[in-house]
Amino acid sequence: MSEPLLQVKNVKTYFYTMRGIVRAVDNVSLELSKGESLGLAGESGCGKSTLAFTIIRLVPPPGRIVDGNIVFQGKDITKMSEEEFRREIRWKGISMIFQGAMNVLNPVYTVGDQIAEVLMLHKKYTKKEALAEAAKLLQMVGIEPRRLKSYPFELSGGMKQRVVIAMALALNPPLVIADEPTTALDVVVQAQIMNLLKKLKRELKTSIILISHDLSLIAELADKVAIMYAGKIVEYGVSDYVYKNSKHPYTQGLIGSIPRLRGEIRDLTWIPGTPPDLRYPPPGCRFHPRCKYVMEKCKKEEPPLVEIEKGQYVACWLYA
Amino acid sequence: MPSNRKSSRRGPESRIIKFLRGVKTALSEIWRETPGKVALVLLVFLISLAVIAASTITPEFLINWESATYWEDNPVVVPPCWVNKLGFRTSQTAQVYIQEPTYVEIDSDKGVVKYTFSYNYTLDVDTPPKDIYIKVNAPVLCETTPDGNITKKTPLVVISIERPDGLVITPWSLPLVLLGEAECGALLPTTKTTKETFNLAHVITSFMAKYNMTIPIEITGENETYISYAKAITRTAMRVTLEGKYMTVLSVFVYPEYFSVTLNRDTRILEDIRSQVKNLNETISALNIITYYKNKITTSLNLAYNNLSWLIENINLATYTDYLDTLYNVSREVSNVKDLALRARLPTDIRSEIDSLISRITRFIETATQTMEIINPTVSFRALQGDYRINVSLVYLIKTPPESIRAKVGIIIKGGCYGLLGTANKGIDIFTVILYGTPIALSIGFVTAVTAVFIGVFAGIVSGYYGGFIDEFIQRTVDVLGNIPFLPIMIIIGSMAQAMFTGPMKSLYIILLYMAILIVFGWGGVAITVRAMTLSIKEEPYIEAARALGASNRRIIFKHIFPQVLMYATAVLVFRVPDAILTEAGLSVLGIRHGWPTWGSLLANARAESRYDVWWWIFPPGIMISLTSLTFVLLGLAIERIVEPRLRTL
Amino acid sequence: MPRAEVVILRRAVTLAISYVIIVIVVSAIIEGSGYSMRIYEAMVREAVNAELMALRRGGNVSEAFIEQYKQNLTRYYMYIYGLTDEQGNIIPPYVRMWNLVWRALRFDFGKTGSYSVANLVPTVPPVDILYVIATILPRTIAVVTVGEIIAALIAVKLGPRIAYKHGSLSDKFVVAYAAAMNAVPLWWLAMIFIYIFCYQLRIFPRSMRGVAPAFLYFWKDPLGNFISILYHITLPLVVFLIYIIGPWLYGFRAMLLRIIREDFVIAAKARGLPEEIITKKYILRPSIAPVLTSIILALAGSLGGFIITESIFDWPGMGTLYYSAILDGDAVTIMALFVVYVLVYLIARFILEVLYIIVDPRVRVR
Repeated sequence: MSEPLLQVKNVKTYFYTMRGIVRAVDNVSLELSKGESLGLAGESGCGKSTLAFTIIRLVPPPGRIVDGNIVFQGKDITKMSEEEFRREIRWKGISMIFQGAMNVLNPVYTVGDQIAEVLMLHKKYTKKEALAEAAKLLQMVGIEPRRLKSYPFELSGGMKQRVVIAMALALNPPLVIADEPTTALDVVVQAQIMNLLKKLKRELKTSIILISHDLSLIAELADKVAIMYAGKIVEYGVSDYVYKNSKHPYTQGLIGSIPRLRGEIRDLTWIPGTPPDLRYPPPGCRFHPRCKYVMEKCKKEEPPLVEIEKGQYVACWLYA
Repeated sequence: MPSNRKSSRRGPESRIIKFLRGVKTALSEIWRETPGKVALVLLVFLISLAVIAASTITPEFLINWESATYWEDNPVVVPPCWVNKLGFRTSQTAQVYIQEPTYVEIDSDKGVVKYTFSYNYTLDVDTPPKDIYIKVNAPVLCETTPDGNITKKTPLVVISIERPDGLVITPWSLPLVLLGEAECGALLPTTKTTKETFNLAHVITSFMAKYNMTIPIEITGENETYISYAKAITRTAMRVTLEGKYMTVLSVFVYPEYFSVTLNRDTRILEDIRSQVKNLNETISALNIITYYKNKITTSLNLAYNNLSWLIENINLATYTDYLDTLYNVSREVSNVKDLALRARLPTDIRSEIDSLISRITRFIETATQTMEIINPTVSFRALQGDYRINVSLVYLIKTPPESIRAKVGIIIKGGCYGLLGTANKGIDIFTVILYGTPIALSIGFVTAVTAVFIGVFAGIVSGYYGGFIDEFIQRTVDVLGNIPFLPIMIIIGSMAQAMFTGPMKSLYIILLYMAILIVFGWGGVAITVRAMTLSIKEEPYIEAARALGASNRRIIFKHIFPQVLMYATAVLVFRVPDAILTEAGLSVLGIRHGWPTWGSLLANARAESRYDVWWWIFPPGIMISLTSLTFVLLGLAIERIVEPRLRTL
Repeated sequence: MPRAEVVILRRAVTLAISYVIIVIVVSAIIEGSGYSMRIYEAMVREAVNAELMALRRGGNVSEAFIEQYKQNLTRYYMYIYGLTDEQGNIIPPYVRMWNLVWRALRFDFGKTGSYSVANLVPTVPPVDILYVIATILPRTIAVVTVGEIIAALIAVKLGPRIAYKHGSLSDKFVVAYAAAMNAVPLWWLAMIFIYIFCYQLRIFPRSMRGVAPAFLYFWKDPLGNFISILYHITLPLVVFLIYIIGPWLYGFRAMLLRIIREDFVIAAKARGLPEEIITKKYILRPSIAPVLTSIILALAGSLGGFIITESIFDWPGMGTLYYSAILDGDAVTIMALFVVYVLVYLIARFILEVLYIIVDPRVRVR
């Protein structure tokens, strides 16, 4: 078994605000092999985006990576200097597709210039070479090359998102993090984007971490799934298994709330309550106030992430 | 299935309680960050000052605060008294009003009663105070004569001062008279001591006696008359210095430190006279006249010549007596010569020469006996440090006087310092004006800001919500207003207002006019931003939903648009408060005065007198203005952060 | 969507109309309210009384003669000061107002008869208003415009550095400093500095009037006058800089902070772009529009000088000019100055519009 591409070990990212310490990512670990895709699911505010930013070391102040380390291609990237990380890892090793492409592109430069910029900087292309490559990238994501001369405001939401994807692929990085890439886009465009991602996974063998609150989307793409709740991973494993045999009550609730085209007609389930305030999370298992299987132990002790079957992990006192 | 909804157990809360709770939350949010903390502390400080001031201010102060008589008892342009603690020593200021006598002396035999009011003053620096005067309101006492008539008695006011050098002087002695009718025991109008009524001669005499200011015999010689001339000249010298440098009345606080008299040893005039005598002698000798007369004349002239020569040669040892004796002798001789010349029928030109010589000598004698030309006294005075006791006595001629009386005796000694913040021109107490300026400043600022923002919000919402013609109109109006230069217009209107308004309410009208113009120029910016906010809120889906539900325009405005705009408006309002204060101060400093005691008016006075070198005058008002502005700027910053959470991480 | 040229033209027309309205309003305030007339009438009275007094002291004149002389003299002065026309009829305020408006619109500035205004040059009236403005303008530019430029440069250099060190001590210091400078009136700051440097330390002279000859006769002794100018402008320039740098730094910082938070900046960082490129292309370049606006408007506004501060320094600049003209009721000068300022402002706005189109592609299509 070759070395995993990415290893996140016990990472904690906290935000030190005036109102208290927000524990956005609290002791999270996961692993990704080359070519594998991971889906990161959970409600809004559970820490998924923060985890993504943590991996690419762009946590905005007052946030900080407090503990743990992240090993990428065998190197501990949390301990690297900012300059080294910028030169070696950012975009070359790990690139990111941002949420809400409305504002991710610089409004005063053309799309072509922006894609070319990355190529000229990291791969030392000349402008001409870079623009040629940029044209190819645009074609790959399904945009006409003449759009190189367009400004971001001249493009629709879907096109912009595709440009963003093109940019993310410019250096052909082994790992791409896609943070809610289809939110704020209509279902037709959403389908196009998902198809594009699937194509990339197939053809370029890029590892993708897909972050979404929409489990159905993750199901299309991910080999493995991690379910996050209140800054912690509560269930993690091969996506087929997680979807068909979800163990954690939260996962079950999430899956139960997705309507299905096939299968018996039944009521949709839903999870009562609201996610906790990450400054003062509940003691013990963070899900216990909303869990219908709650036990006394759940209120006092935090359940560890335990491997219940090969490659499947759950953090719940029902199984530990 | 467990239900999520909690039924509200309490009834609908009143809006006031909700509002107050909102205010409380807002305040605690503001307190959270440092700028907010500072702002709130300052705000509390300012408001307490304003409340204290507002509760003690009188309308009379507003009108009279710039009249010199209001501050008459204060020293002019002196620093605050705490500078003494920092090592910058000044004399103390005393403003004491005594109503009951310190002691009473009754002499029933002579029928005289003396009520004395005393005050102790200490001078502990090397400069005397700046002024001293006493103000007396004495009562009219009544005496019943044997035949049943009531006579009204007024007192003699005697002021005596016991000095640290043991000298007791009585610089003032003023009899009071009753003009018109008065009740028994009623107080006479104020009598104030002045430098005109100051008995300087008496003080000089006391000095000369106490300090043994006698001129040495070696200088004066022994002639009593001449000694008295010398003394008179000395007295004149002292009088000139005391009247000039010490304003007469301050002689109370000085003593003659250095005294010397010299005799002018310059012989030029004497030589001049002598050569005139010699020329005359030679001229007459050359004349063809009766020998008898010629001899007599020549003898006299020779005598005169010799006298003068003697004086000239011995000038360094001569005394004043010698000097004057010589001059008188010469005068006599030359008068003699004049007589002889007349009898000898000498020609007219010679005789007029003699006359001119006589008048010259006479004038010189006058100079020598009355001016400091020949006998030259030098007196320098120095402040007398120590404890003084000032006794103001009211002396009545009354056989059955009351045990005690009620009077009003004011002893004012203007020292080199005063009060908490010192004084400005005319003795204006800077602390008082700073204090009373606070509520004025806060009111002006607050009222202007609130009104301008209120109008702006209203105009902005109307403009943004209804659009169309009214929108265009409001926008163009704001554009035009924005392009009119604000300060010049204020100056023009301020100048005109000074001429236009009259009467006791003039200041109030001028200030109201300033505020009105500030409001007119101030609402525009707010309106534009509120309009933009309204426009974007208008497009929100919940507005459309509300309309679909049948909500009227008014309801939409007040329930949905207004509360959001309010948050922004509050921040803007707070930022605007200092504008009015600064404008008023600026206009005052330019010279366009309204007449009320504001911080700006103090600075305006400083500018008018060009006194930028008086730190206690220019620092406090500016600090107050800056501090107040700062309070509202910080408060505005804090509120802004709450309103726009994105800025919160700043 | 209309083309850029049409937009600019529309804008120009609107500005022109606004200009006319403003001119009318200001004329109304100056002349229509009778302000100017009042002052001129007072001056006429003073001049007449002065002559009458001289006449009386000469002695031997009958009251009747004096009365007649007074009438003639008054009529004469009223004509000279523009209060009456040739026939001796009083020109009513609204006619004066329209005359003023008409001349302002034609940019016919004419001459001023005001002593205070002429004094500033220094010279005696009547003097060409354009000449007065041209002579006095450099003095204000030397202090205010130079100050604004220096402040802008410092802000552009230091702004990004401080915005990056967000939350640090230097950042907090900038905010506190800006708040303080916002609260303190510039003219009071001037007073304090005068106290320290003119009275206590005696480095600078109390009144800055002496700078006028240095400007006026500059070419007669360029080096000497230059040094004299430097000597005179130091204190006002320093005070002004200290005051103005606060808002500049703060404004810059606020703008930069807003941009730094923008998604495309974070995305640029994620792409591994180095700091210099991010600063240049992602922060400064998109924010050029508001920055240019601040700079150009500040420069345009600086021509007005500061009335109050100038009077504290006794600095014979544009502010003092304005003030003298107002106090003397010199409507023509006020109007001329006003026209000049509004024109400068309008031209500046116009330049900005054109620059926006060049600089911001989003504006081009709109």
